[in-house]
Parts: sequence; structure tokens; C-alpha cells
Amino acid sequence: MTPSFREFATARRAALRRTAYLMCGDWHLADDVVQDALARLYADWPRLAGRGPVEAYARKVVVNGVLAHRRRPWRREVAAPALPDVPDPRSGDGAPAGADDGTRDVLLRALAGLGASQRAVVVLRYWDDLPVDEVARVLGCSTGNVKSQAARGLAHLRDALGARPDQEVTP
Amino acid sequence: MTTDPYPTDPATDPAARPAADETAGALLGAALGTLVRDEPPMRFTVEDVERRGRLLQRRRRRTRVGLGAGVLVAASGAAFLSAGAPGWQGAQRTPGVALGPTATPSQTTGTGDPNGTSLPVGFPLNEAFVAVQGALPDGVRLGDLPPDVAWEPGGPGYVAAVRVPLARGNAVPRHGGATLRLGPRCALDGADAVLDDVQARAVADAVCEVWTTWGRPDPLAVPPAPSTPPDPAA
Repeated sequence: MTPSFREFATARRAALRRTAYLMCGDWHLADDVVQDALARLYADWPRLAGRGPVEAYARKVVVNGVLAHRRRPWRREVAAPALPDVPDPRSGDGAPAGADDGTRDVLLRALAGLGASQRAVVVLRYWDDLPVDEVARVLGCSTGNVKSQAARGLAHLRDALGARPDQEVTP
Repeated sequence: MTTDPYPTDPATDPAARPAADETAGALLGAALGTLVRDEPPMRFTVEDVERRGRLLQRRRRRTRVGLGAGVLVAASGAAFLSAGAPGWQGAQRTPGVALGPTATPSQTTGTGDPNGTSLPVGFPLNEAFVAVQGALPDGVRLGDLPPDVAWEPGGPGYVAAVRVPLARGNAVPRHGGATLRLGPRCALDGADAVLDDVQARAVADAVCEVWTTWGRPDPLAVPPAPSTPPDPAA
């Protein structure tokens, strides 16, 4: 049975927001994008709900929202070689519990170094755990493209994480 | 604990690459989890989203009505000019040949006035066709509308009806092949060639839903004639 919009939004908005955050690195932007996406979903709900699961559509709208935001020239994120005001990983200041070994900052920096679509592929593939063909459908590209982008993104992150002085990855 | 995400060097052992990537992907997924662990509270509620969604729906509806009115005005203007507007030399209409919409005033969804302008009343045709288009399954499309498309009497038990050209793929749509009827329960008849019963039911329900949001007006209702202002000299 197809859930109501309210049931769907209540159940899925947090997951969509996390996906959006990992793609853009900004909780406020993730909130805006997910809210926009869910509002569009609400407007189209009678049409979409009769056609089966709407999860894929919602994810696609969120991904497109983040990518469209990155394309806007006045808001384009500029990849910087170093993050300003990075807290000392050993001090624990500003770092959440369980992430005080610096992995979090290294990973944030490494993610910021990926291109927008490559980052989207990495997040959808390894965070949302979507199969390659589903990622290709969401991004509107070929499965070969997804595979190559995922491999390159993984290699980039591996290099970034492997370049840490302690050579550790502790999720 | 120290974990080596790449126990085997993929460059030296290509056969081990998928397994290494899989392991690395799993570790990356877990590492990404640390980034969302400090998730701040959400700044919006589902009610906020529903409110924005309703605004969006209203805005879209207004846009569609505006476009529909614009099309009707343009069609009326073209008909007026092609009928031989005074002072327009380009109009050389052959008597007896209809150019442009041929619907009678009682059939149109707009209120006509002597200047040829038209505003939508009742249930605009474009609303119905937009709803039909939105509800059609993949592979089925709405064809070009005939120039004389208009609401017609719906027959026993129905308020009004309109012909809907539907086609599958790139096939040429059959004009008048399907008939959409508005009534207590809307129906799409004659679409057997391109839609099954469930799909036809879904299309009819989609139109019925939009018609209901308009308050289920009678599309064939003739708007009241504009009142003539009293003559001050009388």
C-alpha cells in the first residue's frame, strides 16, 4: 500500500537530509534542498503515489537540487587546499564524540576535493549503498560512468586517508 | 584499532581489486557515518513542507490558468483577424471557410465579449488536458488537439465530455478515439487501443481530482451576459 505523503516525509526526510549533507557539506543547504524536494513531492504526490515507490524520485530531486546549487556561479563552492580553522585532532576541541582521531576532518577535506558529480556518486554508492544501475538512474548517466567515478573517488579518498601520518582509518 | 582498508595492492593483484574496493567501500560508508553523527536538529517540520507544497500547487495552477487564458486570447485574436478585422489588409477571408476555432460560444470554456477576448470560466480545457497528460503511463502521449476541441454534452449521467487524442509511442493519434467524461465518477471511454482499464481509470480519476479542486463547475454553463449600464440621459 502506498503511504501518505506525511508518512513518507516523516520516515524519509532525515535520511534524505544526511545524503544531501554528505553531498554538499552544509547542513543548512541540506535542509533547504530537502525541504524544496519534499515540497515538490507534495505537489506531485497524487500523480507519483499511483506509480509505485517514490523513494527513487525523492532522492533524484534531492541530488539534482544539490548539483544545481553547486552549478550556480554566485554560490559555487571553491575547493581549498586546506580548511580554515581546522581543530587539532588530538585536542578533541570541536570534534564530535567518536571522531576525535582526525578522520572526520580528513574525510571532510577529501570529500570537498571531489567534483560535485563524483562526490554524488561516492555518497550514493557507499553511503546510501545503492547498486550501480540505480546510481546511474538517479544521476542520469551510464553505469560505466558510475563505476569509473566511484573507483576514482574511492582512490582519491584512499590517498587522502592514507596520507595521514598515523595511517589509520577508524570509522 | 588500526585497520588497513587495502590489505592487497590492487595494482599488483588485479584479481583482488573488486574485493578490495568492496572492503574500502564498506569502510568508507562507515567513515561517512561519522560525518553525520553530529547532525543538528532539523530546521523544518513536515507541516512546513506541506505548507510550501500547497503554495507550489497554487502557483502552478495559477500559471496553467494564465497560460490557458493566454492561449484562448491568442486564438480569439487570430480568429478575429482571420475573420477580417477592420483596417487589417492581410485578412482576405474566403466566405464560408472557417479559420481558427469553430466552437460556438456555448461550447467554449471562456466568456466571450464583442472584442473577441475570452477568460476562462467553469472548468478550463487546459486543466483537464494537463491532468490527462500527467496521468498517462510511459509510452502513451497526448496528441495534437484538434482546432475545434471543446466541451460537449456528456450524455446520460455525465456533465460534460471532451474528445482526447491519445497515441502510443510515435503513432499518429486517433482524433476522437477516446472520450473523457465528467460526472459523479469521471470516465475515459474508447481508449482501449492505448490504455488498459486500470490506466484509463487512473487518468479519469486524475481529471476528476483536478475538477473537484475547481469545485466541480459545469464546463458547459453559459456565463451571464454582461449587464448594460443604465443610460444617464434616460
